[in-house]
Order: sequence, then structure tokens, then C-alpha cells
Amino acid sequence: MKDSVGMRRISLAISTIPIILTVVWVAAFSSTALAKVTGLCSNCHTMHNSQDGTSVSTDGPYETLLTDDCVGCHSNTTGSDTIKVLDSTRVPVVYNTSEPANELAGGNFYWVARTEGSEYGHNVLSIPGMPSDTLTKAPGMPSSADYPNCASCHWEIADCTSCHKPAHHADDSATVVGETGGWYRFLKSGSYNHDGGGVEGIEDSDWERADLVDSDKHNEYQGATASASGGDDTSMSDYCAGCHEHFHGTLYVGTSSPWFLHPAHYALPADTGKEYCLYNTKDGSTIGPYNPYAPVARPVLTGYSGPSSTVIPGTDQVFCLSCHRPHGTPNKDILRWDYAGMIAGTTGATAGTGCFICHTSKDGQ
Amino acid sequence: VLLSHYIRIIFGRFDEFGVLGNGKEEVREMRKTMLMLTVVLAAAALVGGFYMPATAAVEGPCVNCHTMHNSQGGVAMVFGDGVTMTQGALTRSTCLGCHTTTGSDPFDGVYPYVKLGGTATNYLAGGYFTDDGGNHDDASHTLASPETPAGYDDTEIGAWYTGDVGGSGGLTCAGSAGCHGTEDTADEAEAISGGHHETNLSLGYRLLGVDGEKVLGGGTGGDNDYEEALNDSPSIDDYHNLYSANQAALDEASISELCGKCHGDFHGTDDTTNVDGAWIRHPTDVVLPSDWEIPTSVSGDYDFEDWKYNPVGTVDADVPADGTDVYVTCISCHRAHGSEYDDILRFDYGDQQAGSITEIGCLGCHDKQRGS
Repeated sequence: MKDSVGMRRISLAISTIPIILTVVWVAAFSSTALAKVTGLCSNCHTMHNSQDGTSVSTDGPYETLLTDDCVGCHSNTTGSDTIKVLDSTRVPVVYNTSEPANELAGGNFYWVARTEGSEYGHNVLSIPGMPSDTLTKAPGMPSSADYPNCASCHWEIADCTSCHKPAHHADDSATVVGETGGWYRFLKSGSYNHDGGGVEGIEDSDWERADLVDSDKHNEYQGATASASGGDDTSMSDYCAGCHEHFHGTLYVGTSSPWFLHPAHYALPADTGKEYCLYNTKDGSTIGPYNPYAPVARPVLTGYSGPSSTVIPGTDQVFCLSCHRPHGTPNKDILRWDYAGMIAGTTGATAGTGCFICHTSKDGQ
Repeated sequence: VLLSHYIRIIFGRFDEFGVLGNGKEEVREMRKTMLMLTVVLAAAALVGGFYMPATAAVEGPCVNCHTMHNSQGGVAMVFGDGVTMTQGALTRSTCLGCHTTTGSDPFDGVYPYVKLGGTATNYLAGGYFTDDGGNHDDASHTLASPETPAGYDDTEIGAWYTGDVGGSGGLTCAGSAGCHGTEDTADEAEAISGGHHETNLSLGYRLLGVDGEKVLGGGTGGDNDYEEALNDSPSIDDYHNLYSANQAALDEASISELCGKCHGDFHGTDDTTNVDGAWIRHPTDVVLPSDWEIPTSVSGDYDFEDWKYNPVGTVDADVPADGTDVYVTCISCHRAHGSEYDDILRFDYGDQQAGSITEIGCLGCHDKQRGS
């Protein structure tokens, strides 16, 4: 009798294992997992920058009692992993000292700092090894930034805080991360002569690591609430325009065909006579799913419960990150693909990729 | 094996088939049928093999022609013709910026050039712009000229031309002040939008159109080199264009109708004939008399020089055959952009002499005026 009860208990215990594993997996890896940092305080902080009579960091101490600077924590000097784990804390890596295996959505500083040079990334000067042959000012810089007080962000990128204003412990539990969560990826305007606004978006829990991204698992980017708007908003491209204004809005770009610079913040035309209504097509006659390698922005993220695989021409917009990764890539001009490989009429390996994901009639397929 | 059977059937001896008497007639009929079928198939293969649209969708690296933000290394891109700003459609230069060469080779395999550096030694079918200044230059259409086109008649096809309005820029390559693209669009890039990539199929031959109708045209005989080889040294093997004519009653336009948009008095019948129907100006889009030499020789070895010096047109730009209707067009005598001769002619008018043995130019068609 005892044996029978024991067997039933063992059997019950075994049968619950898959359920427990599922719960753990969902908690750990689902796309709605919190990016808010959890884990041991000592992973990131030191109270006095002192341990056993020596400094924890010879370059410290750092602000907010951190053990390292931004890139110090978000680097991997020992391998190609782009998400590293400190105890239970997962840290997105933006700079590997050896070639990254699967870059994140923002790209990686490896190529600009280690191998290829200035054309392959933003020159964040605080990163070790970063080439200093920077441009004198950001291309397309707004004239309002042409003052010395603006130099550390608009004339050069002194450090990561030129773009990011860290708020690792902010409550980012909302699906669409905004001000309460420290803004999407901590992208918040600087303090000098700015309104302090930032970017909104839905954050993929794996930072879109290349091997973990899919049409229904990815970041969602806030677009302009009014297509072709050049005004201030919480969109991703408007944030880029802080330094690259001339590439954004309407003044230099235009408002309709013929465009004079590539538009950003403009809805993919829905006209069936144009090629864009077949975004990412697989068969040449029907629209394809959201492609994380040429993403679109959404004019209204409210109501989204998570990433969507559906793209709606006439609504969803081309924006800066449709083509670029902000940190760096293996391609010139921090492009997601090699522009030189974009050959009109091609039926080769680049057909259906890169520019041709939107410009569906320009390749040879 | 099939070929050997074919040859045996056509050329074999009757006794090989074991036929005698009336059986021989049946074999003869079979041979005749097979030979006719062979001729028809060969003709179809020739037409299918050699006729091709004279335009092809642009292929090659996007970077050759486009710049996304007009920014490289912190400075604006510069690409030919002194251009520092991007043009419409994110192109790196103007029409002429891309289609101008500092060399003398009019076609480098990528860009057909309509403006050449130095002394031109050859040119393409449309000829080349010979200078930048002076209105109504004898040897060239003059871009940026604000003058009213010669023979302009706004009652002919429509008062669409804007190149002469207030000297607002004058003649352009495309748009409402130019020849290419849609005539109701002022911006040049917008006027030819979709033309280079063939995503706008409403644009016709060489991106030419007339009042919503596309101009028909084509080409035949090898790779499309815009007649570079033909103009260099005419040969029967050279590619040449095929021009449309007499399209008035059809849904597509002729090449001469295109010219008539600006030079209406020189096209149609209103201003080219008098009340008695006699010609008072040289006709265009008119069929050549069937007893003239060209209609009876367009597929013979005579025609390759004619394709350079006095090409004809056909309805729908079809491949002409001996004895078919062929038409005189504007570009039977002229090159659209310019030439080395006055009046943008294909030949020196001053050298055309009745009674001479010349077989090109005026006398290429007017064979009765030749000497012997």
C-alpha cells in the first residue's frame, strides 16, 4: 500500500516537471519579461570603490557608485556572446573585442573600434580603441546645435550618455515603455536646452539578438504620429534627428515624390501601383510579414500587446532604423546591409534583401 | 538523330522509303509541307530572337545613381556637372550629370551619353548636345533656352510647354519643359519616375510620351548599344532602333508626334500642305511611295547605312520587310539632341546634290533624284 502511494507521488512529481519548466521558461524568456535590472547589487555597484585595500576600479569611482562605466559593463572581452549573464542578471553587450556572433538590434561597436574604422559605427570616444578621426560635426546637424555647449553630443559623441540617459531601475513593466520606464532603451534628450523628452517603444527581452528574433518577436518602434511630421514627438527617428535633422522631417527631404533625400517617418505607400504595398513579399504578389532586418515604425503603439508580424502599408512607416543600426555594423554607414551589394535587377543572393525588402520591384525577382 | 531523320526525309531517295509511282507524290507533298513549316519557324525564331524593346530596366549597384542623404564623410556628394545637391528621386546628379562624359566614348556599357567631352568621334542614335549657349543653335537643341520652339503651335497637340514661360529655366530634358517623361509634370525626376526601373509602364520608348499615350519604339539585331556601333561603322550586324510612325488612329503615339508637341507646324497636315493638298513643308508620318527604293529593300543588305543616315518608321515600330509600308519620320533626317551638322541633321544638307550618286541623306529616300 505504501509503495503504491509512493509511486503515485513520484508519478505526480514527474508529471509536474514540464509545467514547472514552462513557467520558469516563460518567466525568464518571454517577450514581456522585465528589462528592469534585478539581481545582486554588487554585480554593478561598489559603495566605496575599495576592496581589500585596493580600488575596485582603477579608473573609478563612477557615478551612481557603479563598478564600471557604461561600455565597461556592456562589453564582452572574452568571447562573441552578445548577451552575458552576471549571476541572474542578463546584460546586453554592445561592444565585443572579438567578432560578435549574433549582434543585437542596435548593432555593435566591434567593427568601428576594432577592425573597419570610422565608417562602420558611431565614434563613441569613451570606448577603448575607438578611432578619433571623427567628423567635425554630425552630418545633417541642426543649426541650433552649432554652439560649443552642444559639442559633446552634436559635434562628437563623448560617451554613451550623449544618446542614453540610464535608468536601469525604472519601472518598465508597461508594454510600451515611455517616460515612466526611463524611456525606450533610456533614449532621453540631454539636459542642456532640451525638454527632456524621449523615445517610446516595445522592448524585446532579448534585444533582438540575431538568432532569437523573428517576425513576431522583435522590438516595436514608435513612429511619427502624423506621417512625414517633422515636429517633436516620441518617435525613434525624431530622436536621431536631434543630431541629423537634415535627414529627417520635410525641409530637406520633401513631402512626396520626387524625394530629395530618403524619407523617414513616412508611411509606406499603400498604392497598389507602387512596389511598397508588397513589403517583404515572398511570392511577388502578396505582402510579407514584418521583417526585423528592415523594420517599420508604428504611428500608434497604444493598444499593442506586444510585437506584431503584420505590416500595414499606408500606416506603418519607414524610419531611420529601417536601414541603420545605431551602434555599428559590418557595413559602411552603419547600414544593416552592404549598400554596394544592392544591385538593381539582381537575381542573386541579395535579391529580396536590404533595400529590396521595401523596393520590391527593383531587384530581379 | 532527329536532324538525321529530317535530312533523310527531305533529301533522301524515294526508294529508301519503298515508295513508287503515286507514292512519290505523297512524299513530295510531305517534303513541301515540312519545308514550309521550317521556313515559318525560322522566320518566327528570327523575329523573336532579335526583336527587343530598346529600353531595359536599369541594372547595377544602386549607389551608382542614388544617395540616400547626400552625405559622405560629412560633406555633400558631388557627382558630375558640378552638382552638390541631390536631385529628385535621390539621384546623385541631374539628367545631364549622369549622361555626360568627359571622354569621347558615347556608351561605356552603363550610361548612354548625350553630351561628350572633347571632339566627338562617335555618338548614339539621339546624337549629342554640341554646346551650352545660344538659342536655336544650328547643330543642337539648346538646353535652358527660354525661346519658343521653332514651329510651335499650341493648337496642334496642346499648350503644355512651359520652357518659355517667363524665362523660368527654358528647355529641359524632361517634364513640361522637356521631351522625356510626362508633359504635365514640371519636375524632371517626377516626370520620368519609374522609367529607368520600368516600374512605370505608361512611359514609352526612351521615356517618351504624347498627351498620355506612350511613344512606341524598339530595336533589333544584337545588344542594345544605342546604335553606337552602327554610327561608328555601319554594318548589317549592328543593332539599330525601330521607330513608330502613323500612329494617329491608334492608342500609342509615333516618334514624330512627340516632336510635334513643340514643332507642331512641322507635323501633321494643317501646316505642311496648302489648300490644294500640295506639300509646303516636308511631310512626316507619311508613307513612302511603294516604287521608291527603300520600301523594296528595307530587309536587304542596302538598309544598314539607311538606318544611320535616313531611318524609316513603321506602324507599331514593327520590323519592316520588303514591300511593307514604311514612313518618313522627323528623325529620318534629324538627331534629337544634336549632331555635327546644321539643323541637327544626320547629314550635311550642303552636300546633298541632285544628280549625285550619294545614297544617304535626302537621296537615301529620294532615289529618283540620284544620278548614275
